Amino acid sequence: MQPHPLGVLIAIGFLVTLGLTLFWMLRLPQPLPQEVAKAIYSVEATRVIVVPILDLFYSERAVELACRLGRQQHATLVLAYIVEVPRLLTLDAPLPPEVDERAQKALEHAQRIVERHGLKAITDIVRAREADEGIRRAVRNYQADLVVLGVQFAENRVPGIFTRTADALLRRPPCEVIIDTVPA
Amino acid sequence: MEERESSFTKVKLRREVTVWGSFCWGYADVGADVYVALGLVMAAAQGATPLAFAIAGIVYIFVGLAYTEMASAYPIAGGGQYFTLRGLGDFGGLVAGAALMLDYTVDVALFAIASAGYINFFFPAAREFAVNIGPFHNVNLVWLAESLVLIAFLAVLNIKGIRESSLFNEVLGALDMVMEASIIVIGFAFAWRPELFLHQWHNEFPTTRQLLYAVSIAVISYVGLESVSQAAQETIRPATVIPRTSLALIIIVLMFALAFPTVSLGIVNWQDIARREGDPVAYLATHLPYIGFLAGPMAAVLAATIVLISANTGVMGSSRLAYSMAELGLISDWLSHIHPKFRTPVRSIVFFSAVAAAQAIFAFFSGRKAMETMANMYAFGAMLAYFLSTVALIALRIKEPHTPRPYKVPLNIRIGEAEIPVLGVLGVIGTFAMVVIVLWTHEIARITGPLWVAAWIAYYVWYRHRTGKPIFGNLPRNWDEEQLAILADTGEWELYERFRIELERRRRRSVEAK
Repeated sequence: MQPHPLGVLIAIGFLVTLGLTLFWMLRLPQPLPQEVAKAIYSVEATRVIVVPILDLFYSERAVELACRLGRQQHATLVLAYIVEVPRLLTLDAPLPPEVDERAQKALEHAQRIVERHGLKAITDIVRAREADEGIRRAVRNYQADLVVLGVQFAENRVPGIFTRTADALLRRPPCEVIIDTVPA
Repeated sequence: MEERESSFTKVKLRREVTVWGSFCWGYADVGADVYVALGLVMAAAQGATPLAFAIAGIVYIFVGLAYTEMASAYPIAGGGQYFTLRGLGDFGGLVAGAALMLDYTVDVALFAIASAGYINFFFPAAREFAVNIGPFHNVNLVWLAESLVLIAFLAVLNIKGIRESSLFNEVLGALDMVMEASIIVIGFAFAWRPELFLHQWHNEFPTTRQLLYAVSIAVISYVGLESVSQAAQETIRPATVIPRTSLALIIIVLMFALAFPTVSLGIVNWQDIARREGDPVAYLATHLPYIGFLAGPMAAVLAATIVLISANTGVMGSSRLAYSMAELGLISDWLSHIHPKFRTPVRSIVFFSAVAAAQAIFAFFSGRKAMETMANMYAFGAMLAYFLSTVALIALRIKEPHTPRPYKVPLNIRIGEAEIPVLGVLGVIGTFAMVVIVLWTHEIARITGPLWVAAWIAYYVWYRHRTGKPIFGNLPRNWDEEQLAILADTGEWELYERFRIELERRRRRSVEAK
């Protein structure tokens, strides 16, 4: 019996398709151990990030870092400008105009960084006796998953508000906390 | 009761089915269908048999994709009945369960008849035997007796607790695929005559009603995707494995289902295949050049074995389904009682095997070809269950958008939080059309199919009323907790973490809303 070219072609096509399908099916991706999966998805689950702001460059750098951490999952950034109110004043006492101006300017800068990444930003001026207390309140209010705090340590200098705050936050973290230490 | 639970829990939790095992589990079931369907469809669709298989294949693709998504998202035994109950509630689950139970019992009867048919390849006298008994003409009592013996044999095997071995399935699945592929490749390469194929296509084209009837029978070539879902709870890494095995199964079964009628019509006349209702593939194999003398008997032996295993999945499936339905509060747990000695659900095995035997007797006395009668019933049950399952796919997308889906049916339209699958909607339309076609074209299925479902509904109403459970309402269930437990049990940690985080987020959102 003479083979027909079309029949031979169909037979070859059939075999090739069958082989390729089985080959694809049998090549399974490697499974992830529970710990690895937890690590990957806990980062991916970070949807609200609080970035405490001061008008210093390292705080803005913390905003950039937070944006990069939250970009993939379209996280919301809460830009919380922390104002430590002296105990002599009531918490809702009017702020000196220069403090308010500085806060608005710092938040505006931070917001620009967030906008560049196409993420949603919420700005807030938080008054507290201690900065860590203000951050805790922001975490509670916005149901945040992460705090990214920029800190600059300088030799021969009195520890600033953020180093104090970092210390307090690390001792009693309200959620996941990342401290970005920029060398002086 | 405790004993029953522990026995079944052990079975449910043992994960040993590999990717190849999962594929073969499905292939031993779906792949066997063409051995049965080829002759029946050829008798109705004549020269247009490949077209009938292709039309049915389109619906099969939609249904297959829906099953792939749901079986990988909910890797738990229960299949279509579980998906429907979860998506459409208890009553929907009952109707799907009734349709699947019809399928399983018919599966036992039909494939036992088919297995006996392939055995009769070696005994032509048994194949041709026919007597008239009162008003019943041309009843093949020998073939009927053989079928009943096979059903009894399967029942005894299952009562004694001989489980279908995954390894056995893997070896047989591989052998079967090699055999089927050899018939097709050798047939196309050395014996296929396009002019004969075209001649039959042009001159032997059926009427529209005949073609629709053939399509409704051709769908039985694609029934069996349930087995992949049923084995999900025993599959290693089901969320990763099932999408691959199901998609491969869709492609490969479709290829075989289209290739067999095409190669047949290019080698022999359709009438010859149609006449060999019991052993069409073996008959085709005998017409292969060079190896026909060997391929025919080999195909007959392999087909007799694989269709018997397919029948066995019916016996196993019916008892598992009865257990699943009892656990979900749809039926009494009397049927799923575990025998203290054999530790198998003896009552359900005996009961549903007896139903299958009664169906086989009915088929031989129905005045038509026995296998055709069974195929009609099979198509009705399968299409009704598939219709409900595709509706459940859409319902679950709306009700549980947060459930992680390792595979998603493509082409979706986002409405609010839910993504509505366009192919799922086409699947609903396609399967509904198939149910209508079956009811329109099948004289027996149009009466017995709805009667079967109505009997189950009547029982359900009585049982729920008696036990004080809501008839049209649902029993309280915590699906999210159950889903977490399933994912933890399967070791699918990626999905587990995604789901856990999503649940936490939803919880927070609801707290905020309050």
